[in-house]
Amino acid sequence: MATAATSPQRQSRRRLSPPRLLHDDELVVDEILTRLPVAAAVRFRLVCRAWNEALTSDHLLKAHHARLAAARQPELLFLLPPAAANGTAAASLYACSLRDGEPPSAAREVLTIGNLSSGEHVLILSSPRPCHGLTLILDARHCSYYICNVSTGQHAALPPCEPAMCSRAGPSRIGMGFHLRPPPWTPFEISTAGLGFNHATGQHKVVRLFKTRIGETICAICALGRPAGGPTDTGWRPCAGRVPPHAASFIAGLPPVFIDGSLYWLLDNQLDTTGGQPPAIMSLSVDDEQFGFVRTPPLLSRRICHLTDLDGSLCATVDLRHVAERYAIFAWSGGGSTSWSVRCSINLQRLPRPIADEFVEEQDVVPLCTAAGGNKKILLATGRHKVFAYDPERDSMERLVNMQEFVDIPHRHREAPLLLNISLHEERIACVHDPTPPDCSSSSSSKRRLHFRPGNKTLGKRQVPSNDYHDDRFRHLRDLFKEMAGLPLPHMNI
Amino acid sequence: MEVDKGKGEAEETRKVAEADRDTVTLKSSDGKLFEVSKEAAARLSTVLAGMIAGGSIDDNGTDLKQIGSEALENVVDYCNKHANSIPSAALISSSISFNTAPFKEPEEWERKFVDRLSHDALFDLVEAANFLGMERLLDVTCHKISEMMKGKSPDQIREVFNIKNDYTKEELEEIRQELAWAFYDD
Repeated sequence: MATAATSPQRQSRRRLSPPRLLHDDELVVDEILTRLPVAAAVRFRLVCRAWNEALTSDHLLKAHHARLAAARQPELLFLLPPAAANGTAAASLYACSLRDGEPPSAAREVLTIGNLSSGEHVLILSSPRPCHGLTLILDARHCSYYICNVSTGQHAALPPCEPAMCSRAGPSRIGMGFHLRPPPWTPFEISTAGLGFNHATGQHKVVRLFKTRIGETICAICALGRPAGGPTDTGWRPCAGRVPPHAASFIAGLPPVFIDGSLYWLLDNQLDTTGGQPPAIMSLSVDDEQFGFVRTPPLLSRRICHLTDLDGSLCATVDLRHVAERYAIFAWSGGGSTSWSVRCSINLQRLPRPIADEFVEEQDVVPLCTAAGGNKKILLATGRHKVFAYDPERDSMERLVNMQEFVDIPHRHREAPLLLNISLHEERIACVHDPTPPDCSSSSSSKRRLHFRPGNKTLGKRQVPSNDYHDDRFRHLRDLFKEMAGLPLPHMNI
Repeated sequence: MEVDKGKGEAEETRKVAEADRDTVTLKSSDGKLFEVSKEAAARLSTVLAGMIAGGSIDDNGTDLKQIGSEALENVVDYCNKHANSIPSAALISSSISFNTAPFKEPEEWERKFVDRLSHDALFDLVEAANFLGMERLLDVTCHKISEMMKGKSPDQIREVFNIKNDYTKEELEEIRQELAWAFYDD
C-alpha cells in the first residue's frame, strides 16, 4: 500500500525534532495563544522572546479579545461585601456564566479584595462592564481609587485625590435610582468617578467630578500609561475642557457610563438652578476632554432613573413600576441626534402575579445586557442581588439568579446601599499601568492599601427559602397606587 | 490543442467515475492510503471540498504530501466519526487567519477523540487540520492544547513546545517583576 517515494525528506526531518510547532509559527499565535485564558496568556510572556513579543502585540490582543467576545456567553460578576467580622475582612468577586441564558449552576471566585475593616464599603464603578479590560474600584471609607484587571488580579492604587465636600447626613438623591437615601457611610463625599479609554493613545483615564469644600465643581483626570509618543502623565490634573455650570447637578456616588469614547453622567434636574430646561445627560469625550450634552425629549428628561450601556448603546431607564406598573428602557440613536426610541417596555400587569410581585419588590433595577441565544432576553440586575430575564417577544419574565443561592450576603447588605453589586465580567489581556509618580509612592504607601488576590473557590448552588428575601413595602406601595387609580398620579419623587 | 482536448475528456470521465463513488482515497506523505466519506470530507474540509468540486481527486489516492500517515489516519477517523454523529450546521468558513465565529464547546465524542492523542499527535493534527482547512477540527484540537497549557509553568511550556529560553537572567527578572501578580494557578 505504501510507496516509499513520497517525501522521505520531510519524514526524517519530522522524526528528528519531535514537538513540531515552532514558536514563530503563525498557527501557534493565531490559533493557540489566542485561546488561552487571560492569566495564562500573560504568564507565558516568560516562555521566550518571540512569545513575549506575540503576546503583547496589537494583533494578538485584538484577536484574543475577538475570540473571547465571540465565544463568551454573558458572565455575571458579583461583589460580595465583607462579612461583619472583627479585624480585617475581605470582599470577594464571583463570576457565574449564563450559558444559553440558563440559570448558572456554580459561581467561581475570581478575586478577593482584602485588608478591609468590617463594615467598609468597596464599590465597582465600571458598570455594567469593565472598560477595555480594566475596572475602577473605590475604597469608600478612604476615598481611594484602584484600577484592576479582575481576570488577572493586576492592579494599581491611584494617587491620593483632593478631598471633596461631604454631604449632610439626611437622605438625598445619591447613587442609583430616583429615590432619596441616607449616605451609606460618613463622611460621604460629593463626587463621582468613572473610567474611560482613549483608543487613539491606548490610554485609560479616570475622570473624577467633585465639589470642593467651597462648593466649586471640579473635574480632575488621572491618565494611566504612556500615550503613544508623548510623555507619561502622572497623578491627577485638571480636565482640559471647561467644566460647564450644569455639571454642578451631577449625582453624588453615581459613576458615569462609558460608551464609545465618551463618558455620560446623569444629572439631577431638580438641582439645576440655571433656569430654562436643564439638560439631563452630560458627556465628556475622553480623547479631547471636552464636555457636551445629550438632548432628551422633555418628558423623558424628567423621568430618567438610570443610565446604562445596553449592548453598546446608551440607554435610559424609566421606572414607573410602583405608580404605573411599567418599566421602560429607552435607547439613544447616538451622535448629535436627539432621537430616543423605546428599546423595551415591561408591563407588570401582563406578567404572572408571582414574578411581578417579586420584581416590584426591588427598589433598584438596572439593565445589564441582552442574553445570548435567539430570543433576545434582556437581563435586569437588581439591588437585592438578583438577575431577571425579560423576554420581550413572549412578554415573559423569569428570575435567573439569586446570589443568595451561592453566598451568604451580610444582613446589612441585603439591599445594595448605593450601587448594584452585580455587573458583567469580561476577560481581556489589558495591563494596569501604575499612575503614581515615583516620588509620591513613598508617601502613599503609608496609607492603608487594599490587597487584591486571585480567588480559587467554586461554589455550587444551594436552596434558599423563598421567604428569606421578601419585602412587602413595595408591593403595598404599588397596591396603594392601584387603589388610588383614577386620581392624578402623585409626583414621581416618592 | 488536440492534447489539451484529450486531457479534458479524460478528466470528464474520471469526474464521472469519482461522482459514482461515495468515498475518496487520500495518500499520506509516507504513501499510506486512507478512505474517507466524500460527503464528510467535503463538509469538513474546505480544501478537500475544493478538490472534489474541481475534480482533482485521484482514484489511486490523492497525494497529501504535507500530512504524515499518523495525522492523516486521525483526520480520516475524525471525518468518519463526524459523519456518524449528528451533522451540525455548516462548519465551513473562509480562510481568515483566526476564526471569530462563536466557538461551540467540543462535543463528548470530540473531547474523547482529542483526549487520547499524545502531544505530538495533537500538534500534527493541528497542522493537518490547518492545511486541509478543517475549521472545526482546528477549533477542537487547539482548544484541547490551550486547555492542556493553562495550568502549566513557562518551563513546562518550553518543554512541550520544544522552545529554547532565549532570555537573559536580567530580562527574565524584569518581566517576572512586571508580572508578579500573575503567578498563580488558573
